[in-house]
Amino acid sequence: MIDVNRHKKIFGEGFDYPERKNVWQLRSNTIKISSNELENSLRGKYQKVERLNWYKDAFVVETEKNLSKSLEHILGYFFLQNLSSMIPPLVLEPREGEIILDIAASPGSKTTQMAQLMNDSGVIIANDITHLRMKALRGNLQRCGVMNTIVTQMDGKKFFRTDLKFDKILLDAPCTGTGTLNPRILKTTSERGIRNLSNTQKQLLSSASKMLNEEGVLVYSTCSLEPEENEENIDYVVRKLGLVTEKINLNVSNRVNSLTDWNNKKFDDSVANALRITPDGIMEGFFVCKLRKC
Amino acid sequence: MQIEKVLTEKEINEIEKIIERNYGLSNTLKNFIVFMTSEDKIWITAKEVFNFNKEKLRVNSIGLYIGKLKRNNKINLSLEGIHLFANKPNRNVVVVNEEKMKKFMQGSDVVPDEKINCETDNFVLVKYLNDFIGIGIWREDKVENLVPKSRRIYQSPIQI
Repeated sequence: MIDVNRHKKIFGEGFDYPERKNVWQLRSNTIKISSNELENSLRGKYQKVERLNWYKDAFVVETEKNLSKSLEHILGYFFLQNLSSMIPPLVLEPREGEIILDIAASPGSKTTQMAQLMNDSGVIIANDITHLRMKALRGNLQRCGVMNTIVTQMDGKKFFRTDLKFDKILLDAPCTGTGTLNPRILKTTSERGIRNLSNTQKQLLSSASKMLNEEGVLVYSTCSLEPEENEENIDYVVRKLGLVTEKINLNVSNRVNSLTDWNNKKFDDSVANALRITPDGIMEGFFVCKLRKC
Repeated sequence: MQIEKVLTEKEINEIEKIIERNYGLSNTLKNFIVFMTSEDKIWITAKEVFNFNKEKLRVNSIGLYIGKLKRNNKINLSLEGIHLFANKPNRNVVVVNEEKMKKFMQGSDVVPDEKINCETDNFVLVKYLNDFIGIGIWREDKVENLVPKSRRIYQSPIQI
């Protein structure tokens, strides 16, 4: 079990688990509808609709209604997605015509976001490991009208064996998910579980780094608060795999500095380029780092 | 996904004509690779996606499913197929009000408020306000529901 004392060491003594606010966070799917059109539609139906200043396609909607059962959602006009989870694709900056690998893609929130950032052009390889996760991924790609994607079912740790090379790779790694502050997750997460996942994440990072072209960019992210899954892994990538971190120039809410050390272990100075998002009841706790192969 | 056939330009042209004949919709698929999988399902993707080196990949699916070719030159478009083509259809279209839209999205057959050149036993596009919300079959006086289970809303009533 993980408790707040562990997280106070990360965010400071004043940190406490915030109460979850009853709001919906969503991203307009610009493959099917413009953000302005969606905004007009949402404002006509719901009392409180906020459009984010740091990402024009993101909205926060306050309503008692279940937006996952709204007509707009069924028609693929928006994707229900935590605001924090929208950050990694913005950091990767996929552009029209590029070839991108999304190593752990299901359920497809970031894949569909990248597709719209690319105007549904170029190629995205959207990979995940289990058959069960394929269904959600394929369903969401279809709902959002994405056609630039090849869905693959492979072990990300061994994906490098394909000998394929990419200019941009997204690794939104499987993680404990403690950044969601879901009580069930906090209750069932153990130090050992964190360690096991940290090892898996390092293997995924190693696989990803082998597939990067020279000057290629890898964005690593988790929705975990744990330094073993975040800064420690970036320290590993910098020291052992030779990638370099880059500053993330993105003015997002709740951004705080990443840790410089943990449990008496000092991290490489460049780990400080990563960003952390403090959970606040709307945004989940998140970690994002931009890495480049030089 | 087992690709059974990549359509030639002539065959793509034929699909476009079928869509035009059935719904009065015109759009070109010639910029895409159009291919068929089992049960005459039609998919589209960009050339660079289709031509990507997939030799060592375990591919689960490629591109977007746009519909299923049926006998007698009819075509059951997917919701995304409708969105791709639905500029201004003028045949086999029905219009429903809010109450019927909710019923339709829950999987029920509905009697439309308006019908535009509907042929009996043919597919019809179902429209609510400015949106095409799905497809059904016109059966004399009602629309037989063809909304796939994955796109239906089962539990609480639809909340618009």
